Amino acid sequence: MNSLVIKDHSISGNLPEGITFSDQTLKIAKNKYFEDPIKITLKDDNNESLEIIVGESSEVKIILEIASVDLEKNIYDLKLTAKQNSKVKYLLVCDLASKDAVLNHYFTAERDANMDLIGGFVSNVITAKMNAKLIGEGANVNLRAVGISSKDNKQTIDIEIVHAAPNSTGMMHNIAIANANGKVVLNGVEKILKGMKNANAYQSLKGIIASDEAIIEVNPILLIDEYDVKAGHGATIGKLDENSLYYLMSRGLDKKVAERLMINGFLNPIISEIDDEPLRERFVELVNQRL
Amino acid sequence: MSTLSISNLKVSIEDKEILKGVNLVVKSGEVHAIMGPNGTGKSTLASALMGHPKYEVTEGEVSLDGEDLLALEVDERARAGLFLAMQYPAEVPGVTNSDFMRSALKAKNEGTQVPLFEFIGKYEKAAKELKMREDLPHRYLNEGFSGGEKKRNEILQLKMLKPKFAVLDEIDSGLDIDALKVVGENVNDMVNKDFGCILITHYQRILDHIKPTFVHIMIDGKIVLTGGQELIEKIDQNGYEWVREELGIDFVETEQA
Repeated sequence: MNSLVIKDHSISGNLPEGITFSDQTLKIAKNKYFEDPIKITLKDDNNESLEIIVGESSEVKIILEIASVDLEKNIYDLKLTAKQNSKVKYLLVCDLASKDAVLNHYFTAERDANMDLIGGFVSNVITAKMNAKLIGEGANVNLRAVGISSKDNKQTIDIEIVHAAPNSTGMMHNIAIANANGKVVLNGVEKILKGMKNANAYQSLKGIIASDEAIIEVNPILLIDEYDVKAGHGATIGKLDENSLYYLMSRGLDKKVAERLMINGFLNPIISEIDDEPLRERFVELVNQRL
Repeated sequence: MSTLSISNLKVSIEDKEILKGVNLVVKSGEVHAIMGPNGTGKSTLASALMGHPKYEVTEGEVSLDGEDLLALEVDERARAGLFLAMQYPAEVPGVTNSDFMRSALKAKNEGTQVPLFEFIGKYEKAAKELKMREDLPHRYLNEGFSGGEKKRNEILQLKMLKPKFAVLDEIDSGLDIDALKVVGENVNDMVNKDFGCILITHYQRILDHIKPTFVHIMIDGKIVLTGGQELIEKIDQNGYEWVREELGIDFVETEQA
């Protein structure tokens, strides 16, 4: 794996061939195929901005980890652009201790680009926005956001997919889990602009409340200004299924362990897609610290 | 050797009394078949023993080797050595069979994890004995399983956890003849001096494979008759009507074997 660390706007680590970094922009040349994921860590550096551009017909897996123990106000502005016909798998892990963090993340998918995006939010207090715009025909975005809040955490996550091209596909599956007095707000918006025929949009929002004081809000919104489209959405919030809990406990698992197993199971379809094993384990650990 | 002792157990669900005083003593090495028409409280007995939150015990005692089971939580009962093979096992999405089984074994071993290699060996062997699919460990717990697969998965867990006592709640219903044979033989192989079993059924076929030490007939929340395997034959021939006629509708004291 290629590991890069960005601190104070400069990069350390060896840039693989085909990747350049200047003016807070990481560029991946066209027609490149990277088998190993590229891991980028943004280190203790608030007011950070970063743009990543994936060149035409390139194929890449990118992991961006934003971790900071800074308690002050943090602002992050991030952009990821997938040029024509490129394929991007992207994982964002957002682990900020800040009591007031703001993260704006814009994604752009050009013609025939494929973006597979996961956002994992295990921050303290954050207002985050993940906005994906499909600007070329045949663009395809699959976006999943997961927010896990525990004691005194408050995370508001806006997830938006905008269809600005015909024949574009945008899927979102978002999961909120709240424990203790934690709060997660998920606002899911899929927008299909006028004339964007044959667009395909789907969103699901799921919330799991793991304690009586926890709060989850989910707002699924479809804004469609075109007739010839396919669109659907669904939202559910609930406690863990009691029957399943009973079943697991009947095999000797105490309640905490059983709940933890179920919540991990709930996230498993997303977690199992994280290609990088150490990062996957760290993400699972971060999640479990909050359960 | 262990003893599971149930005395004068009365259980209600939503204020309706279902069990009206059940007495039963099961020792290691014994198989007790509980038979009876539908809706007489057989499954309620199973769920109440395990501690399902919907079932309220209003009177009576249950002990396992002297330990008061009714005072324990569901998971504590399991760790004390009780196992319930459920009639309708839950589906738990995202939790693989192997992760679940390892967690359950860890709980049984008081927090000690079974080495992975040893676990895989045992799990695969047990799954093979039950003729289950090879990808079983990686599949999610009961999710998308056929009825027969779910029942076999219950027996698989039973084989791995090796409890002191198991209650098998209609483990035979919905099984085809081959699956029935596999399940029956696997349970039968488990019975030994350290394991006893309560087999709840209203069909007779499973009893071709598992020979009960005692047969109890339950009607209207009570065990009304206890005998040996001759009772199975009689039920097979005549159904349950004769029990009512022979015993009358009055209260009948349970004979404990």
